[in-house]
Amino acid sequence: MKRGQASTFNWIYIAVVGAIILLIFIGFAVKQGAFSDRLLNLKVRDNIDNVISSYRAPYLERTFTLPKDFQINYAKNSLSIDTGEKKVIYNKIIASPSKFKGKAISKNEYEFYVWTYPILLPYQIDNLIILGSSNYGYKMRYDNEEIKNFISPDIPSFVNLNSKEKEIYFTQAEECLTTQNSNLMDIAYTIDNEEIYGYVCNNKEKLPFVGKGMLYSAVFSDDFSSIFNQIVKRIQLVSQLHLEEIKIYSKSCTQYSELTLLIGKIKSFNKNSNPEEILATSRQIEKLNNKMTGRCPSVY
Amino acid sequence: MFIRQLKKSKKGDIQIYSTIFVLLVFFLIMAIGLIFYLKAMKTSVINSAQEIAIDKFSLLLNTVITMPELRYSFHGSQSEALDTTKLTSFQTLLNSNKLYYQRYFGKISSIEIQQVYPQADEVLCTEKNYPQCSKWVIYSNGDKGLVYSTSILLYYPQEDKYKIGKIYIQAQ
Repeated sequence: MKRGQASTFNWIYIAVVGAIILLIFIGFAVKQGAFSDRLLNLKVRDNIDNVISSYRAPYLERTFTLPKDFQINYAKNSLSIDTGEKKVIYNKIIASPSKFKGKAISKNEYEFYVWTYPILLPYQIDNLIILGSSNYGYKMRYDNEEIKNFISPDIPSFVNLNSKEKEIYFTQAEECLTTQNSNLMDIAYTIDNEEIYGYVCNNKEKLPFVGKGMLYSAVFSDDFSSIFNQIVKRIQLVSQLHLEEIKIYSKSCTQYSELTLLIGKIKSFNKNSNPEEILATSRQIEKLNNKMTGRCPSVY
Repeated sequence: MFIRQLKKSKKGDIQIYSTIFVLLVFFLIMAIGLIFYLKAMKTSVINSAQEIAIDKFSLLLNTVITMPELRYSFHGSQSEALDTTKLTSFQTLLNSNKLYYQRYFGKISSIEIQQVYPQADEVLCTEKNYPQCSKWVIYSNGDKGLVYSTSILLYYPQEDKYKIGKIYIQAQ
């Protein structure tokens, strides 16, 4: 081999080895980048789950910020961030838009909110958690002032009630006017003595509701049908627990027969239930429960 | 002529060996660096795992003590105490809804509650012996993970009395 050829070969050899080393580093950096993106995604998702989990009591409200313009996805009990992995949340009832982003309050801060409201029938069924951001708005179309004054005071000020990502029509009627598509929701309501009941019509489905908790779960969710099934299951479980409790109390007290019957009616709540009857039953339970004392303790 | 060629090839060999040696040293340094980096990563992962575990347990505790199935409420207003009648009744409910509560409790492997004050003999509560008992096995699904315990308030509705208990949550 001539001296000139040897030196060229040397340079080629150095370039190849250099390129290989460079490729190893680039590969490592890319992998590390993808890994930290995935990790950040999972961390954000779990942080949101933690924020939600710490909100197990009713009537709480707060805002929280994320450092990037993440998109939160929540559908059929599954929470995910951007295109990241889903986490199924079985132990909470969450009302939320199916996809939403935070409101930019600075370059690195995007604001979201969470607030809670109890679902009562008349005993606590669960705590509804409402997740969202003021980037996503709800337009309430009230048919009169009474319903506006009835609903508005409970909704925190950070909830955007001005833009139209979702429109909700409230009609004082026994039946819905129409079953709308997913962006429009029709609510046929009756206000009776500080309590509300009626039907929610959306996505060609008509589902009954009793109380503000159930109403809010419909208004602030893109998938009420799935939340409704969760609520029905919770009603069955909590009612069954109260029935089991009564069995223990009945060993030393005989005043629970009517309460047992009424709780049994609440337990059978489903999509075909008459909300007016359920509310009447709930009120009877409340009355009877408040009378219980001493060796016959109240059930809730 | 032959000697000159031999000298040349020896010079070439030396160059190749020195390149290989440099590369070996380079990879060795890189490997040592990587080992240190991974060790540092491991320590930070262990630290954050511990922090996460503490956060996780307080969230799990929050999940358990706020369950309407266990929490004491009087005429609708929620109390900080757990209702011992509900704790006793919950076992029947759990038996008929095992899959639901397995999903509900997620990574929790067991939840136990023990009355600690006034002190009482350890007797497992059932619907038959309640309230002459002092321990509730709320949930049991294996024996995995760390155990976290904290004090809680127990309410006995028929006696209208509060007692002090301890809750033990085992989770992965």
